[in-house]
Amino acid sequence: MAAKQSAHLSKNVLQMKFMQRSVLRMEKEQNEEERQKIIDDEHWALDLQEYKTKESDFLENQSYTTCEELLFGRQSYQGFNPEIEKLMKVHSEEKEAQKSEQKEKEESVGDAEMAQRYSSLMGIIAKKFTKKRQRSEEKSNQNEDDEPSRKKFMKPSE
Amino acid sequence: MAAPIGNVVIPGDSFSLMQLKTPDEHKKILLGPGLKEEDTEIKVLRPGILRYRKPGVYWVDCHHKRYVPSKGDSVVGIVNQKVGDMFRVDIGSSEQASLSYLSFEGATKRNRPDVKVGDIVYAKLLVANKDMEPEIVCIDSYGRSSGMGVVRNGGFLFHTSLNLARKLLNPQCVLLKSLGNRFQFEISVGVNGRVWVKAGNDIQTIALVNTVIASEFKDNDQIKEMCKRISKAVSRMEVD
Amino acid sequence: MASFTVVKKEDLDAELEKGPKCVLRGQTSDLGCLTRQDGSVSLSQGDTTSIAVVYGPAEVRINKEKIDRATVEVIYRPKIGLPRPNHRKQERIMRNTLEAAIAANLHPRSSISVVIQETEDLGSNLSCSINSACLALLDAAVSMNFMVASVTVAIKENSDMILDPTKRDETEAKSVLTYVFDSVNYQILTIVSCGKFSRSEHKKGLTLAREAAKSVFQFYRESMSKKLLMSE
Repeated sequence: MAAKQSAHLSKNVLQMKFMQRSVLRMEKEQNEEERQKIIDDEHWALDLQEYKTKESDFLENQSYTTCEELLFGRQSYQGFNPEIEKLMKVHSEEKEAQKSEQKEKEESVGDAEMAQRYSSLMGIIAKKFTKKRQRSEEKSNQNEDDEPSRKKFMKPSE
Repeated sequence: MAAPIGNVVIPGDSFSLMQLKTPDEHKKILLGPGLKEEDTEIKVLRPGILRYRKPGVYWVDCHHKRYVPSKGDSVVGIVNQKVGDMFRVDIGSSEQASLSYLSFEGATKRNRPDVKVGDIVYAKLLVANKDMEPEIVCIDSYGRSSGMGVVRNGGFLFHTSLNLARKLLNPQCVLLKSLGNRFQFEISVGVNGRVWVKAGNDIQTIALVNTVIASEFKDNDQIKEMCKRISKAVSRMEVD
Repeated sequence: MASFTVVKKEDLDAELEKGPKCVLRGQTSDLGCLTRQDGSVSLSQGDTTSIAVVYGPAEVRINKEKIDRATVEVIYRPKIGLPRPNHRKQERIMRNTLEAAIAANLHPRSSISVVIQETEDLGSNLSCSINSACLALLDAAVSMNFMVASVTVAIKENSDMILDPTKRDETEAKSVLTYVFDSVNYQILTIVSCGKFSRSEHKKGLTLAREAAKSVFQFYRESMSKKLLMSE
């Protein structure tokens, strides 16, 4: 009832000092309402475990066109339809390019492999330029790093 | 035991994943028409010859006469009806395919393509789902026609089995190439078993149609031989 | 076009050796005997012959449309006259059997219709019809979960079994049983019985029919191989 009445009160009235308490109450009510709304939304969502679908080992494709790698169906010979003949040429060139690309891919060295090779090679070459003393120092450094873990307190078994 | 590649399989046969040649790691095996995955097994649904192609594509090559649409197929259809801004096109499947008038090269709402009922169209399947009406288009993803659209100026349309249509388009088949060496002609082969042929004159067109139909159960050598004979016969007829 | 005949000589020989009562009569098939249909076959089992054709998956009438699977229709045409109620019953039996075999869920809102024309009924007609329907479906390359094979057994008054009986055997027998098996586990799909029989007789007939069904499946495979490998 109060809310209904206050809806009619003008801004100017609400700004008056003796109305401050009533303004606070109205604000509180509004906040409460909003909170209720949020709860309501959550109320409808079920808290279920994430649904996992098993990933299949296969892809299914019902088209013969892709399975058999069929050619384009419109063809023209001996210049009967120059437009189509031009298209045939484009198609065959595309196919050729694809094939050579495939071949190149198989024969060439991959980026990852290259990087790995190169890094290992770098290690060997770097070794060449370091002096014997440096190398032994490196070794001892490594040992020091290892030691703390070895000296750790071991809990006696009960 | 390896999967019986090149042998006849019939419905009810099944094989496990172990029997298949797997491609590299992280690559999946592609199951083509006639095969279905069911509880870690692969089941054969249609009778035919089991085929394999690198890398890891398996399918059953069976003898069909009825076309079942699948996405990406190129088909020859006949425009049957004009409904609003759609055409209904008969592609030989259980349901007529729909073709929007906007899916032609250069078509806009204002500039409608010139397509009439009874026209033959060469189109690609955009939507092919067992639960939905098939939809065909006459443009590629760049909006170009790339050889698709209305097939005009006479010619002859005939039906073949789906195997023959696939055989014609197989890169290994020599029929069209050897005919191309002897005749000047144009051909449109849809994988739905419809073939449209047009040559310089009627005699040649009829000869080509008969050659195509006769090649169904012939191998490459026999086809070459046949083409030689046909071209001789045609040239003799044209002289008369 | 694609016409040829498969005669199993072993079957014929075995039949002559063992006498006509213990094995199936010789089967011959002519796949693709008609050209305008999607699939067709002319099958003979002994002297009983029938022609089966398949159309589909094709357009379906709107009142028969099923939203989740293909409508399977079976039409049986007798040799003489119009179809009678017993033919309707036969149609229904065949339809129920074939519906199980066909992977109908792969072609929703379409129809797969099978038409069977009886050409000669000289015993075990239902078996011959079902087997020819199955071969026609294979010829049309309709998607199927498994194949079906049917075998008829007649039981005489002295409870002797006759496999694949002739017309005369059928009329003399006290009961006639027709079994249909699937091709994966050789389980029973359908039993059609006529006349009185005991449980043990049924059991015996079942084992006999099951063995015979395996040879029918072998026959299917050979027929299909001949057809498909012809163009290789």
